[in-house]
Amino acid sequence: MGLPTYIAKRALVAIALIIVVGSLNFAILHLAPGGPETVFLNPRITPAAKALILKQFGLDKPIQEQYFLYLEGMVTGKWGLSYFYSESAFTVIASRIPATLLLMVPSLILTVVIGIVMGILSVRRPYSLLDRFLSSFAFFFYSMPVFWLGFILLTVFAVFVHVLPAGGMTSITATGFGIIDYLWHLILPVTALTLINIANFSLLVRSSMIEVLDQNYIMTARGKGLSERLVFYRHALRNGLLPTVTMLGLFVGSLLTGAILTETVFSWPGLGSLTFDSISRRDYPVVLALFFIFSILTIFSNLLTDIVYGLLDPRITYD
Amino acid sequence: MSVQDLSVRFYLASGVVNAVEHLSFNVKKGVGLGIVGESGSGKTVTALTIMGLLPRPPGRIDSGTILYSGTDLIKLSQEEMRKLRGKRIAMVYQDPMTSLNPVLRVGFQIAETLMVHEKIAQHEAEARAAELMEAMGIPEAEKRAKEYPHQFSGGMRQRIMIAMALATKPDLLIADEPTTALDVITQSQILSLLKDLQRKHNMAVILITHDLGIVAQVCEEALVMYAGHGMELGTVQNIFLNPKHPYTKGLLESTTRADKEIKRLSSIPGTIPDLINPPLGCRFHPRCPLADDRCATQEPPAFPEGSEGYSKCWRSESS
Amino acid sequence: MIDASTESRLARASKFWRNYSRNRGALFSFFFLIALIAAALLANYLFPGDVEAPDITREMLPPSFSAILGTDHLGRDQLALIIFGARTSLIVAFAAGGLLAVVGTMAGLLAGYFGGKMDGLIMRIADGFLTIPVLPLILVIVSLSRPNLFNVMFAIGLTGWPVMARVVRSDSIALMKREFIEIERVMGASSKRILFMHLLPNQLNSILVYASLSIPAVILTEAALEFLGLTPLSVSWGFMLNVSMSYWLRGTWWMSFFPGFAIFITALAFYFVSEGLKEALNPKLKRRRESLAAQVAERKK
Repeated sequence: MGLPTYIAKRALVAIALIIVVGSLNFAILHLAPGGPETVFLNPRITPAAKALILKQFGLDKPIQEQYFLYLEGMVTGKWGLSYFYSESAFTVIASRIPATLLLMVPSLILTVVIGIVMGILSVRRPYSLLDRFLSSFAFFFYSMPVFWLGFILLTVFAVFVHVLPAGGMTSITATGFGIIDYLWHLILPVTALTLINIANFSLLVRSSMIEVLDQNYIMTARGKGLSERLVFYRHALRNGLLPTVTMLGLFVGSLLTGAILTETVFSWPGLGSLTFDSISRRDYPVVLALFFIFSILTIFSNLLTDIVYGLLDPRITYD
Repeated sequence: MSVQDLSVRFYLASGVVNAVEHLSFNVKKGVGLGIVGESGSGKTVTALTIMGLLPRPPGRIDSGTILYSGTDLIKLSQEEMRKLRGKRIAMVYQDPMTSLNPVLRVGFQIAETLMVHEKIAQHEAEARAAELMEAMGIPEAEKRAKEYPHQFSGGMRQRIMIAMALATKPDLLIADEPTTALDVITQSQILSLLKDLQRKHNMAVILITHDLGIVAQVCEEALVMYAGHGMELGTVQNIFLNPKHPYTKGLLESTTRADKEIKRLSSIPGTIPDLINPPLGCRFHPRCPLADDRCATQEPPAFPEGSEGYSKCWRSESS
Repeated sequence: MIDASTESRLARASKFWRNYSRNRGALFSFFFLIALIAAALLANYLFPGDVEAPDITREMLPPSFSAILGTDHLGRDQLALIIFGARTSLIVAFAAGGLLAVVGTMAGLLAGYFGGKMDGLIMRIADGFLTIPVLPLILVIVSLSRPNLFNVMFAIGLTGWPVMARVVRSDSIALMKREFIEIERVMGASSKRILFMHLLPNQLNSILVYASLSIPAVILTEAALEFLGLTPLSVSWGFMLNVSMSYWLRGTWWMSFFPGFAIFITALAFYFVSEGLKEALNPKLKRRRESLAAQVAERKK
């Protein structure tokens, strides 16, 4: 298929998905009980203002036109007006993105690194004590609700033992020692988010490796008289880690979900807590816009991991 | 190489599988020995045991010796065996589609054997690998050595595997159903290639197959296995023209032959026995037209036939 | 394979039970879940009176003899609330799990049986569902429509089917290659017949396993939804956690701990049960496990 074709295909799918998501948004908007007015407009405005805004948003036009206007709006960043903030939803969201990234990126890196290490340790001696211990650890945390874990961490480390901050991203007393303060606040939320995702990810690595170790070419490698170390690291690992790359894309999706919950617990001012707050406040424009951006982020990261996978798997690059 | 009284059993929770029992045969340099039998007869287990690739546990070598150049392979440590494996004794596997590592270049996979056993540098090893590929009949070898397995056809992949096995000029080559997964034309090409190489390098070859035709074409001696026992051993002439064992006779009668016209193909009634609870006495007696009471209770010894062969059947007692 | 088995139903059932009980974790979890379901059903008898009625005199009491798990901000006994909350979680778990199993199985069967364009289409849609992050999607659906139990079940079930579909599809494809299917087609069996009398029955085991494997995730998702305040069901574990957020600075750790623990332990129990089912229904897996374990033990010597 060749790499360029592969990438092009995936990119097209991604774009199609974004359009689908946008349309979904549009559909939900218009299917909501009360119609789009309830979503886009603050129920307390005067009828005159309402008529004006309706005209401005083009909600008085036929539905097909509205659809295209809507799609156009999605691209240009006109994502509606937040009830609560009285600014465009886009600005509100944009201001919160960095905080979420600050939470997600370290978490992602830690998850991948530690997850892979754990998976490898498990699988080198399958069903050994270490393996069973690590696997138990994994499904222990897999079943744990991330917001509960967050609470426990908070209560233990911030309330009972005043070691770490009780939430928020910065301290009120911070004067400008930006990074250290951020880091201090970052520890607990990242721990909560990461622990659970490591569990998930290491299980994936492990099962992928077990499948690989069962393959014929591993027997061939052994038959050549290669040491177990070579067989494992050079032959098995490269094949075993490939599927996990694709999984990573989906993983970002679950990381986002985790972020929503974690940020809420830790009062971390990112997209996640914004979601929670907006739902509580019934700030529908923002909720919808958040859905849109979450989808874009997931779709985009899937595309990215697909591309990386394509680069790594010779069956795609060379053919 | 001399295999004497080899018994291999698998100790599973569900029972003990008698994979190979009291098997004996010899293989000399320059001679091709074909091991024939239905699936489950113990052919592959024997090959794996010789290579030291038997998974143990649950497999265990309960008795016997495998003498190679004066050393009993069974008594060797894992490390010592590893040094021999791929260097002096090499194996070619059944399914070329899955027996090569899909993410490593083909030239590298061949060169690996050289790098590990002869401790030469990578670029030199890869150069020799390309030469080997050329010798195996792969055109444009130098260019193609940089390609990946999926870019080759089945027959080519098998040639690559053979090149891989022969890189260190081993004394013994074991080929486990090397042509089963290939079409007839490729099959005959590969077989001629193997024959040529055997002659050129004066190698001992063990060819495992369920196809009598292949044995007739390529081997000088043949061993017929059934339910883990060596039923008949002899030169290919003797076995094909004058089979002594009823099982051998049955096998021959159920295949087409170029030298005789066959009106109807017969088949041996019954199925292969359960290896956890094999029948008492001669393993073949439930299906044997010549079986009597003694066959059902006492296991026949291997009665010598010809210069070095034998036939494990009470009917051969007299000769 | 489905054949005219000589074993009676009873014999097969007891063999299954024996296999299943070998995994102690699974056994224990099974009994735990039975106990939980029983408690949930009998909740009205165990805790007579209105559990949701506030009692100002007993607000926010830590765990003690009179209130084993403490009381919440309205003075209500937490143990009672948790048992009642089990109803929600269990209902959603089974209903949403069932829904996604049904939808997923249908999709997988259709994709595997018809192949070609149908297969491609179904898988595209499934992939699409997978790329769209689940929680946000559910959030949007639920927050804009009337938030009630039914919608929650519906939303979770509807978003969870792709994984199931994939598994059923690959199993179906493998089954389609077997001879007895060929025979049926040659004999002119209708699609419906092949689908329902052959493809489906042979996969019931793995369908059951995967459906139960998806339940922990369902429970967690449902809890997350309640935690985010989407459902008006006040007696639910997730919502109890939501409420507890406003009070935890006062040190009322029991308000967050116990409901969360309930979620955790229930999800874990379902996970163990499904692993147990997987092993019990799949003897080959056990053998591999044994041999691998033994190999490792050998190497250590």
